[in-house]
Amino acid sequence: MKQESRTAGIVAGLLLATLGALIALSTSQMRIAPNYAKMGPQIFPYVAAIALGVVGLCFLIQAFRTGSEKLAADTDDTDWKALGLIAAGFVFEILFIKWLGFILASSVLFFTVSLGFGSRRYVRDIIIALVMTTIAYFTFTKLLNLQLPAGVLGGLF
Amino acid sequence: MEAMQFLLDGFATALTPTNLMWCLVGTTLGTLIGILPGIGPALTIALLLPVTAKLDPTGAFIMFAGLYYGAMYGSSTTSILLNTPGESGSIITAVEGNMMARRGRGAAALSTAAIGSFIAGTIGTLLLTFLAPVFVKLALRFGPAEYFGLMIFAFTAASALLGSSLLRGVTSLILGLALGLTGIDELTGQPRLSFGILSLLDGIDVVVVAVGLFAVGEAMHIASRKDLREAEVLAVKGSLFMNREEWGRSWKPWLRGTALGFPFGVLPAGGTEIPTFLSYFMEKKLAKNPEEFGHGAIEGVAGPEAANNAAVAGVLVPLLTLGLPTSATAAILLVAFQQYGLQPGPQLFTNSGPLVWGLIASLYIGNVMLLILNLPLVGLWVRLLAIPAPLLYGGIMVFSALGVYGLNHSAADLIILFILGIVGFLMRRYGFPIAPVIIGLILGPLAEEQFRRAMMISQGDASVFVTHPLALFFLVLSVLILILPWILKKLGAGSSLGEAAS
Repeated sequence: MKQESRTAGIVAGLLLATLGALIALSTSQMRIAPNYAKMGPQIFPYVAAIALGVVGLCFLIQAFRTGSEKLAADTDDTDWKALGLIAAGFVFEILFIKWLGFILASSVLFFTVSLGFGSRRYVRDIIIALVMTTIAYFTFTKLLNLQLPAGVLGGLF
Repeated sequence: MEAMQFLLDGFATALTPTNLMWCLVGTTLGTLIGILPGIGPALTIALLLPVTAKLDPTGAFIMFAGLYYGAMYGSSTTSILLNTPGESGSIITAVEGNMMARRGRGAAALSTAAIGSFIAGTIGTLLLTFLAPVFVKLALRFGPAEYFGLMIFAFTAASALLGSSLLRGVTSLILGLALGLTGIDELTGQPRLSFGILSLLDGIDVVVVAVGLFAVGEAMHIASRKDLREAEVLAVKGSLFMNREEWGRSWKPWLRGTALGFPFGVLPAGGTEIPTFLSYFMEKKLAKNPEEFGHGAIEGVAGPEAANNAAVAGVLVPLLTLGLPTSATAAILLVAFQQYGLQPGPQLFTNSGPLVWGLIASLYIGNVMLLILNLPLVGLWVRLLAIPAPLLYGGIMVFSALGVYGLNHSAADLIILFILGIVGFLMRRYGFPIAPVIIGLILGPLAEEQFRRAMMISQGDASVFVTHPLALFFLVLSVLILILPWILKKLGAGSSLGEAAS
């Protein structure tokens, strides 16, 4: 547990400091008109960059000083399979929402999330997914005028 | 008593059939999302923003405010019957109320929570009614330097007081600030922090951030922990009518909870968590039988539930009169105002009087609706808790993707949503609070605007922030908030609050 907190603290510190450095770098490449020098668009990004560096350093110091503060969550018991399923469903939605359309792509997302949450009633979940996304599709496109991709099912409606 | 006259006009606005309908929609939807774990008022209002863009603003805000109040009512039901707080302001209720339900007094717990919420909400709204004009008069004297000081104070208060550790709160806030700065600078037209990515030029939409961090992050967090996935719903047992003893033990905690909750909402101290914890400890100290706490003491439900509703009313004071959001939901509401081209602050009261006072009047009506929705009809809502988690979160994810895709019809937004979802998951896993991100995201660019306006007026002389007494006052207060916990630690006073929060 302690070992994990320390590693997590170091990783957090390094990530934050890196993000700060990236922001500073990106900001330093802006061209600032001289009359804006003291109140220009670069000031707040620099403040954010420095602040990120400082909190990153704080995390590093804390991690090396025996990690007095507990960093990891209460449990180490992480269900990575569940996370993987949800992530896969999400990536599927991103890749296929245009081509397959909202209804089919979102049904896949719904199904993988329900799998991730431990449901094993596959048929029920698929039926609910299709019904729910179809109702959502028609509510939003017909009632609320919010366009959603019809995809391969487009010819049917 | 000009407030009285405005309020009466407000009731005339709020009591039109259309606005009554919006109030009912808002309170019902608020109760619904309060009861369902995994979705809260900030997220819901964010998702509704694109849909409500074409509505009449008065109706939309009446609905949003009803939703904010309703979420506080609804979340107590979930806390009591499921031992999972529906919202962060109900963490204490999830302990004490659930113990009551286990001992067969769930109905009494629901009653004291709903009636306490009603009393606190109504007193809070009364205070809002009469404090708002005072704040408006004060706010009219504020220049950019004062606003900047006030916002810095709100920043530090939010990061110091939300969540379990100052360092994590500050980190969350800065991450929010960095997200808020992304995109084209409004004053000079220069792109900032876009790293050459085209879809970052327009900035990151608050809807994407809220949905990613709250909904997607929360779903991943719950899915990753088997112990959180399975929760047992308790049946409502006992009479909804409290007996004489329960009334006797409830009314004082209601009033004390209100007295604690409202000021915490008004001060830029952010959110509803702290007053609920304070109220709980206060009731425990004052109770005749403190050993009952932790085993289902009714005072431990009555006080904190009143506190969180009073805090919500309090949050509306700085939001409406100063344009200063002190909670994640308030930050989203501010975006909603901007969407209609309205800027909360003293001008809002002069320029859009009917809207503001209609909104305030609707809060009184909404409270009555919520009492009815949450007491006699509680049995209906309880059935929602029977929705299996896999289906609930499947639905939440589909609607999250829908809401975000609907913004710009771009898969790039979905990618950002996914990344922010992972960030939200990691933040939860490692104990970083989410609300400061939203506050930093919204308040950051506003603070920058005030800073640059102040600097322009002073022609680049940064001493304006020290020579203006009010601005200096807020800045000193900010420094104090940041170093006070450290000093207290050195003095050995310990931080019971921090312990309680973690």
